[in-house]
Amino acid sequence: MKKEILFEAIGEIDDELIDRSEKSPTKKRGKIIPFALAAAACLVLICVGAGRMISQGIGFDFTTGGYTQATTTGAAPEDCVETEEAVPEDTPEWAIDTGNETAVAPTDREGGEILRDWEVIYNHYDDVELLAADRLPGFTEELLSTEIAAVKPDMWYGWMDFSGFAEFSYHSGELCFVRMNVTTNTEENVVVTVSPYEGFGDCCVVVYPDAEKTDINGTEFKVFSHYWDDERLYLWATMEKNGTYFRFEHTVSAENEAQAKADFNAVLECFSNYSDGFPKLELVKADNIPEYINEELSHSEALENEAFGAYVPKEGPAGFGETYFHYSKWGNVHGLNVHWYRGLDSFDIYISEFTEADENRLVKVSDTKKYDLNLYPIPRAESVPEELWEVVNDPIFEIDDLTLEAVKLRTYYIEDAGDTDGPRMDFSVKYGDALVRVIAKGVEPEWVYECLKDLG
Amino acid sequence: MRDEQIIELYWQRKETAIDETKAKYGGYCYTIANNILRNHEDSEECVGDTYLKTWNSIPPQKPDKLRLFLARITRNLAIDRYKYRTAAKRSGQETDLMLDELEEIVTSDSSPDREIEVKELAKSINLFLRTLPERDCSVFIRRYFFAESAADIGKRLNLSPGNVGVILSRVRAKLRKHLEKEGYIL
Repeated sequence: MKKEILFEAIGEIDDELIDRSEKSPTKKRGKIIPFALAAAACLVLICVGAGRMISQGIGFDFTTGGYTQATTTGAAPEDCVETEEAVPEDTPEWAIDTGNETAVAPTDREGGEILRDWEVIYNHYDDVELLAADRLPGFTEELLSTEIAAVKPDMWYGWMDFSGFAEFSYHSGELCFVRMNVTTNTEENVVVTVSPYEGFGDCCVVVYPDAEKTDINGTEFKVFSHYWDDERLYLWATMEKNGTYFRFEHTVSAENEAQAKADFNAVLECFSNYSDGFPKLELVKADNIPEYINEELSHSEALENEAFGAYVPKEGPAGFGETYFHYSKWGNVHGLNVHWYRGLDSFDIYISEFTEADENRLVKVSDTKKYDLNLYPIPRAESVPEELWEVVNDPIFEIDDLTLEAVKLRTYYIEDAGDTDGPRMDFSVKYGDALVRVIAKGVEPEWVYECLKDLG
Repeated sequence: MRDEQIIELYWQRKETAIDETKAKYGGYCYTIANNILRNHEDSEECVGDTYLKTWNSIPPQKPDKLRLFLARITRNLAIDRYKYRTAAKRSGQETDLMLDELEEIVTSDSSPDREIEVKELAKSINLFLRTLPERDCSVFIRRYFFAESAADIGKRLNLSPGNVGVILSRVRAKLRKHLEKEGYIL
């Protein structure tokens, strides 16, 4: 199909759609009013430039058939949401539309000086520390439009679309945080995490307490930048507003630094605007709270566990008198832990469901290069080929294929003054839909083999 | 004068129909033509041709919306004139850029039955446009129906030209996927 045919076909667009495009509100600079303010019914938000009238220039008004010169009077620009709520009289004048046309320090349409009394200070770090999460993951649900509306700030620009999910605690069903994607003028989103708790979320880059702060419209931010491998620019920021904690992140190609910072600044600016009582995180609720179980069991209870009881050994290694059995379930993921101890010696089994993600680690006993530890001297990070790391680390044998020889090839010996000497092993066995992982210290391979053969 | 009255003049074959059309929609048609042709004389001629074609079309036609009827005629005449004027040469003008953007969506093969292809394609595009948010749909129509520049679209909708470019790029990509799914392009 040629582009000319496409152009002709576009000429046949329905009248209704063309009509609608002509009736799209003509954008005029006006006042941004926090959409969530309560009042009598009114249809538009109005955007203002901090007290200045900004001429929009001459354009053709398709609805009247004449040429017009627009001035700032207040209409419904797409920057702002249409709402049933009225514009309160005492609404303060907020920020102005940056335009982002040049992707550098924003100016107004006339090229004049921007009417701002703040400038974002980027604290740049060449090296950064990562914090690992120290919490159980929760379950997530996509945000509803009403929930997005409850968490969105009072202002945003026309190029910003909001979407995201909420994470809730398996244990209580309570909200842990909301994570929103805000579109920008590059291909990458700004990710905004909003939580009632400080120090929330998963692995993230440290916020340095001595960083210089930026005040945007009376809200204090700490803003940072860092390069990953000289190719990717990482921007992040934190702030607290109305008892809620925010983290902002934006990762872009280093060549888009100017645009990325302009967009990031605009997002921070928008999020500095919340009315009292907002964001309303209490309106973000889980629709379905998955089942959560986290319980210690007796040996007999473990043997009777409906899902995995068949794979619990009836007895532990001789002399291993201490035991611990535990069953956990988070939504669709569940597992049963079985432990026998004797001092520093241990025999651990973790039973779960075999999933598609485990397929890559299935090995045949004949394929020794994927599991024989004798082939790979320590340090194994150097001796094991990269493509075999995952499988050599934790190979999975089909129970019908498992041999004593294979178990012996997975066994290695350590002489450790601070720990138990003797055999150690670590591998998994597949029993139909069940996966049994074995980690043993101080237990002979012959015993382990016989134990595994008796299961199921 | 209301559109129904103007159309009635055409049906009564009264030449004042053209005067009334010119008075009400002359500027409108000129803007559409000039968006594509970027030349005053050519645009004036195109608008003149539009009146002639409208006179020859009504009757038998009786358009519901005279404004959009005129818009389509002007647009088609303008693009024909543009192609005639530029032939195979690229002028680097806005219209070349607009057509080049459309090339992202399609291949260079053409079907032997052009008229049918255009009609079927139009139906599919209409369906597609209705799935878009209103803003994105408006940006697309203003660019590819009215041939407005990104700067003009931006002024109208309070978007920067860059924003307009991003929206257009995304809509073109979505339209391409839609047309692939519908079997219009491989």
